[in-house]
Amino acid sequence: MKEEKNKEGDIIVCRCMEVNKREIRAAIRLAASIGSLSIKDQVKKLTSSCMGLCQGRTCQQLIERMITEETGIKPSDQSPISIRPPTYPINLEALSMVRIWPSLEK
Amino acid sequence: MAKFREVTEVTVIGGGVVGLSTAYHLAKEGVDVILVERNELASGATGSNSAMCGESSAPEPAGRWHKIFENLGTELRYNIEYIESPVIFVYTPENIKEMKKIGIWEDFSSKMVIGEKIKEIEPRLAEDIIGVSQTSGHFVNPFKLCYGFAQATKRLGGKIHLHTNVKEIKVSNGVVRTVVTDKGEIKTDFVVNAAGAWSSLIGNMVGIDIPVVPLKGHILVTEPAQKTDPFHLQIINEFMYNIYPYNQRPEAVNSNDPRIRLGIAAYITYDPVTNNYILGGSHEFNGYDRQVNPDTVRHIAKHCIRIIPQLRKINIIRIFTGFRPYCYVDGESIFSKVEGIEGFIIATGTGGEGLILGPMGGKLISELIIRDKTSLPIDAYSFSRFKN
Repeated sequence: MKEEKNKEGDIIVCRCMEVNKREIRAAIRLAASIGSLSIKDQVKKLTSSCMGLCQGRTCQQLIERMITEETGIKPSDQSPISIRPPTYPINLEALSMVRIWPSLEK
Repeated sequence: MAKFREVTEVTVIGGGVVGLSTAYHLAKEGVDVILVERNELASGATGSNSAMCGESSAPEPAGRWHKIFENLGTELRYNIEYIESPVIFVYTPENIKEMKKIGIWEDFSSKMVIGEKIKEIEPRLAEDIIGVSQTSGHFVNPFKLCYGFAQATKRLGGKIHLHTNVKEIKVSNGVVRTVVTDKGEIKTDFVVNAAGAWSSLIGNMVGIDIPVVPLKGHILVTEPAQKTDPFHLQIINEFMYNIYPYNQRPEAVNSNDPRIRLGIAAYITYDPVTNNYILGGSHEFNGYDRQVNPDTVRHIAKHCIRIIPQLRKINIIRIFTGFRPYCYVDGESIFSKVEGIEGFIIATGTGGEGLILGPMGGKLISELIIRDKTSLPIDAYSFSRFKN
C-alpha cells in the first residue's frame, strides 16, 4: 500500500501545473472532510490543477474520476469548476489594448 | 433533510481567514464553536487576493500582527506555503507628484533608493521610475491557510457547516440567543460576525449599521514564468497602492482619470510554488457585481506594463474579481464587541489586508470572548468609534 502511494507521487495528473496524483488525492480527502459540496473546485484551488495554460482541458476528467473513487460521487453529479476569462491565453499587451469588449469609458 | 438543532458557546459567521482563525483559536482553548459559511471556505476576499503578506500598512497597533504567521504552519501541522518574498515599492513621477500634494513626500524621500542603484534592486523596472524602497514580505497560500485552520479546528472538536446561510439572529433583552440558518438553528452565547464584505447584512439582523461595503478588486494571473529569472521573487508594489483605499471615496466614480475612477495601482506578486505572476489591482465601489469589468482589466494591464515593460509578452490565463470588506468611514478594521448587544462581536473591515490581519485578528477575538481582554490592543478598532 505504501509503495503504491509513493508511486502516486510520480504520476503527474495536471501537466500544466505539474500536480501529481498524491497531491490531488490529499486535496480531495481534505475538501471532503470539511464538507465541501464542490470538491473539484476546491481541489483546483488547493493544488492549482486545472489552472494552467490548458485550463483543465486535460486533467479535469482524471480528477473527476479520482473524486468518484474517493467519494462515490459520479462525475455527472459533481459541481463544475469555476470558469474564468479569458477563454484562451492572451498576452498582457493585447489585453491592454483590447477594445472588443464594450467600453465603459466616459 | 432534517434541520439541525445545535447548542454551542460561540457561532462564527464566515469561512474566510478571519472567521476560521477565530474558530481555530477558540477550539484550541476548549471552547465549543460552530462556524457557518454560506458558500465554500475562502470564497470571499480571502480566496481572491494577491496572496501578499507583507508588513501591514495599517498604522499601529496592527502593524506587527503578521508576526503570528511565523509559527502558524507548524502549529496547524499543515504547509501553508508561507515563503519569504521581499517587497519593493516603486515610485513613478506621477506618484511623487501626488505624494507632494497630500504632504507625505517628506516622510518617504529619505528611505528611497534612487538613480543607478534602482537597477541593482530590480532591473526590469521602467526607465522613468524615480525611486524604490524595500521592505520585508511573504507569500502565503490563502486556500491552504484556510484549510489548515479548518482541519485543525475540526481536530480540536470545532464544527464547520458549509453551504449554510444565516437568516436571522434572535436577540432578547439585549443578549444574542439563537442563530437561525436555512439548515437549522444554533442556540449560542456569542456570535462573531466575520462575514467580510457581507458583514453589514449580518449587522442588520441585530439592528445595527456596520459601515462596511464591498470594495471590488480585479486580479490577473499569468502563465508560469521562467524559473531562471533571479528577480521573480520580489513583490512589486506601486507605492500609491497603499493609500488608495484611504482616498477612494464613492465620489471617485465620477473622475475622468481612469486611475482614480477605477483605483488602479500596480502590484506584481509571484507565486513561488506555481511560478505564476499575480497582477493587480483596482478599487471600485460596485455593489456585489462580480463581473469582470473589461475596462478595469485593460487599465491594470496597461499600468503593469508601465511599471515593468517586459511583462508585455506574458500570457494572462485567468482573470477574477473579489470584494474587500472596506470600512467607508475611515478605512480601518473593526474588531469589537457591540454596546447594547451582549454576545455580538464584529470582526471585519480589514479592507485589502484581511489576509495579513486575519490570523492575529481571530486570535485576539478569541481572547476577547474567553478572557474579556486581549494580549494586543484592539481599542483602535472599536465599533463605538462610529457613534457620531
